[in-house]
Amino acid sequence: MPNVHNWQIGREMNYPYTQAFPSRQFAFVFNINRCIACQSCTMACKSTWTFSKGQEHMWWANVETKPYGGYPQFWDAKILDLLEKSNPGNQQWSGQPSADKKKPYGQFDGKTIFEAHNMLTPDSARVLGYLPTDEEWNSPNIFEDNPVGKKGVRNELDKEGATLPEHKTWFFYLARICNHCSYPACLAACPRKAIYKRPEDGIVLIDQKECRGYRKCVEACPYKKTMYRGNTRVSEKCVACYPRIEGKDPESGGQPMETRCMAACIGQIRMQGLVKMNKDGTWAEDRYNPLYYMVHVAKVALPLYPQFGTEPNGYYIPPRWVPRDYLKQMFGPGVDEAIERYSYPDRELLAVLQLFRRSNLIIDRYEIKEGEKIYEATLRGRKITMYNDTVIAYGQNGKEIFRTQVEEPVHVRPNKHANSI
Amino acid sequence: MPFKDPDPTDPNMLVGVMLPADAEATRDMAYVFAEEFARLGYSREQLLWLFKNPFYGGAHGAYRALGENETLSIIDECLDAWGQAQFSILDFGFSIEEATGANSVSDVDSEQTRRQVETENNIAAYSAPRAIQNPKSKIQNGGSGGSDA
Repeated sequence: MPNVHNWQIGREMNYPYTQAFPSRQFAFVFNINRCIACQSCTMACKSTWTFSKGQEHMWWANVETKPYGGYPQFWDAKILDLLEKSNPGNQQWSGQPSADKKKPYGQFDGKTIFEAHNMLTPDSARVLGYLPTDEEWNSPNIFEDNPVGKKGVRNELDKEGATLPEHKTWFFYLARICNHCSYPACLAACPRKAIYKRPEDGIVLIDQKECRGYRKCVEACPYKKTMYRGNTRVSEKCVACYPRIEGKDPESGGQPMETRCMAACIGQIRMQGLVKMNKDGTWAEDRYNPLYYMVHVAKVALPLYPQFGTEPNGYYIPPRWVPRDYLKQMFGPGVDEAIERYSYPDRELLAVLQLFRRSNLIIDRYEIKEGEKIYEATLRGRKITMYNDTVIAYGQNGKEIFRTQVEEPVHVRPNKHANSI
Repeated sequence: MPFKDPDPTDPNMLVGVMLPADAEATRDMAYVFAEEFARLGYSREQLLWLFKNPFYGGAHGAYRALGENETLSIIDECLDAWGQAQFSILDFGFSIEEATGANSVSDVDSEQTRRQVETENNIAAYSAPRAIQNPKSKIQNGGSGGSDA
């Protein structure tokens, strides 16, 4: 089994294929602090790609309420449990987050899903995983997904009303899509090589003609983002809205455009882009690309469960109020730094955060024009300084897409035209 | 919503499972809601309403746990840090009274007129209600927002 370098876990690891990287990689940053679980992303995806018969359980984009929710239910708890059983007590990180781009979060010394050989069944299996049960696929966001009738009574609403369980503790909303991993577990597990990663943008797709529905990808993907369709007997997954990425959407003018789930986000938590890659799989220096800035310079955005080993390309600004142990399990050792920097953002980060959802075109580069200092204040004993900087976003063709300010104008539609769109 | 009751013998089922949380986590959560929405331009009243509204489970839970006085103190601290930026309500040819549903001062009857107003860049700028309430804020005259692609 070849060795590949996984920069998110800071070391070489086993992977069934030799490493090969796209010239640019589909990636995204979600700011969990802002997500209110409105499910606009979920429905944007559903109404675009998975509205047909046989796709009822397919939620390529979903928002789940952590820690008790998950789609399919328990997806992360189950794979974490399997990895722990494979390597009891040793699923640990060592070292410290550093500027080294080959190990920015330190080193993960435990086993990835490609290395837990002692747990694989049958012996020919390549990836540690499991097949969720039908019941686990039932509830898109359990207890918050749909109002229904009494337990066991279908197609009839509860006449007296019902009270949902109230969780008197912390929780947060985790928005998820396929991470279009650099080392996809679905691709590694497919016995027919029906899954491929596109060299131009790193999007992972299933060739529907080659797939025979063995569900090895469903079993292998630790994020459970490949799904089996019973009536066609093949598997399907998030396609990263690739026609939009290719600039085929009429609205895009030929320029790369963000996916439907990104564009629909009313909480403005999402930014998606294409990052330039080095030949060794690390991100090429691209200082004024907003994703590069947030992941490698400000380091406020962290990968989801990097210890699984797939090098996911989805990054999250962690929720600030959640206990750190839980967050470190989910996002790795960079959590403390990320929260510190996001809570007390510097001048550049404040400006970059303004770029979220001002346009549906993919931002290739940003530029900041410094504005006047507006005021200083203190928050929880720390000084906050606000500058009214202007941030300008440029597209792939080098043309300006938009410009906005830290001191952002607020537009209000008058009541008489509230529904005039 | 599942149709079966949770199975207490299922180790993955969170039934009576103690989660690592304390009062500090609730306070932190309240700070985050107040900060994020203060950054979005919410006023003191709007922020308090968000905490009082039971539909916002997280914020409302924090409000009930902390009480109104502590919630208000968090809101004030966050508004002081993030809510001082001057901002404008910009809409083409409308007054603040009309925008907020109060007495109608100006009138634009048709989409065509709206577009014309926009073309002429005759954008009326008004101070937001919070800007009036907050003495540190200034009323902005003129200016324009970013243009979407």
